[in-house]
Amino acid sequence: MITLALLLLGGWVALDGAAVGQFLVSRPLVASSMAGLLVGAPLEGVVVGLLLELAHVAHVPLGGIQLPEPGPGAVVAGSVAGLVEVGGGNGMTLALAFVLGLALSWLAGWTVTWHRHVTSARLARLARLARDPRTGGARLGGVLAVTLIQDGLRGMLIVGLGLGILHGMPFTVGLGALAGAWPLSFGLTALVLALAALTGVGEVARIAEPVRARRVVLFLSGVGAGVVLALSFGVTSLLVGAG
Amino acid sequence: MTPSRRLFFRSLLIQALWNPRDFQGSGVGWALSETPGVFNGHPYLSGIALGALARLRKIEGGENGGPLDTRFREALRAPLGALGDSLVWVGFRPLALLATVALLLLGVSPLLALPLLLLGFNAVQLGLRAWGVRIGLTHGLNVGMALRAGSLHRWARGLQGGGVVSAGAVTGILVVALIGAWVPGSATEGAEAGRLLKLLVVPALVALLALVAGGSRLLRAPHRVRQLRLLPLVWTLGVLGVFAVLSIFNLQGA
Repeated sequence: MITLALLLLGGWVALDGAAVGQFLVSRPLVASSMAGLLVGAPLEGVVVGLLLELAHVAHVPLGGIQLPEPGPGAVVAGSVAGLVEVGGGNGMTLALAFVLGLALSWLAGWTVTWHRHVTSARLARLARLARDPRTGGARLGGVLAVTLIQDGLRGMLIVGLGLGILHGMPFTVGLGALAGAWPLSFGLTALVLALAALTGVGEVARIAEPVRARRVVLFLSGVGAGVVLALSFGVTSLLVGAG
Repeated sequence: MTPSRRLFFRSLLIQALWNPRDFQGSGVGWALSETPGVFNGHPYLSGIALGALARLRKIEGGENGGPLDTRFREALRAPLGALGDSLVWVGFRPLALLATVALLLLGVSPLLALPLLLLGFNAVQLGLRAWGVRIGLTHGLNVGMALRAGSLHRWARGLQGGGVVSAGAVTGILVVALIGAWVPGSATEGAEAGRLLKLLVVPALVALLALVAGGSRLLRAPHRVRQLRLLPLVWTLGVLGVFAVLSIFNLQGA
């Protein structure tokens, strides 16, 4: 039942990524949190989503370029959080979730390109068949329905692949033993991953403000504000509650 | 359903038929129930194009696929795309996401932060769509002038600045968390600090070597932005790879 729910969530986030509304459900922060909630590990799902969000936040779809599609991968990554008990609560499952989420987001990006080329071919065929402009809109409705179904199934397939890798391989059997030897706690693994993902955050600053001097001033102001807020709120570790 | 509502709801699916041949053109064709032509723009501002094209058909006599229609589409594409990119993709979306990340790092409950993100962001994006349809239907061919007269460009600039500040804030919070993890005797992770420091040296060096080896190829690639996007991936995989190897050695030792 949970697997079915995760697959459906994968279909939803694939559609939300571009085709339907773009309501932000496909962002890793949201998709992974929802997956974590489904598998009964909501806080771990949020942590994985947060890390993937930092890694992907600078991916801006300017000019229709091919980008990683983070949504379906984030669903799988969030569901990995449900294995936190297998991992004995340390950082192994978090690292696994992060790597799997990144890898699947690249794979999903390629499938988006494939999906769009298939759509293009379908529309070209329709244009050849239907020369009557009065029926153009109506016929397009049929193509639209097929395209939406294909896009949703694409997302479900990626999530299915990720869950298959996770649960269907002998690798999972050894996960508990490997996790026992993982050198870092959940919190420190999250911190290491967050530092790596910060390069994405830096790129946001570079894209958003082209004037270097202004960018530096704004960024440093933000750093100062962040430090003051972190000290005021008593932040001494990354999401301490999640450990 | 009124024409403006119909266009608003159809604008939600305008990217469903996105393809490299006519971009959003087929989505626009479906929304207006007509034969598609080439068009592209920002999805959240697509209502402007839909409203203006609908008015062009009904009132201003612009036939679908005719010279006026083609010129108008071409004239609208670049400004709508550029404005939407700077307003939303580079401005509002990163700001909203990073502000939410900052809230979560500060300890705000996800049950509050995530609904706030979804409600706030979607209120704005749906508002933009509805506003776009309205001004498109009102101004038709002159919608470009209405856009220039509006304050969206100023908003875009402000939101982009906010995005940079929030990127800095997230960095600042993480730096404090990092220092907190390193200080011996700190609330949670102090005992592991020395161990982490030793462990980080090796993977960081390996990741650096991987970057130098693979990075020289990346840096010759034509699109610098794409290379930068690969850096976190390469770095992380390098770090995690070495961690995994260390774990396996630990496992064998045990």
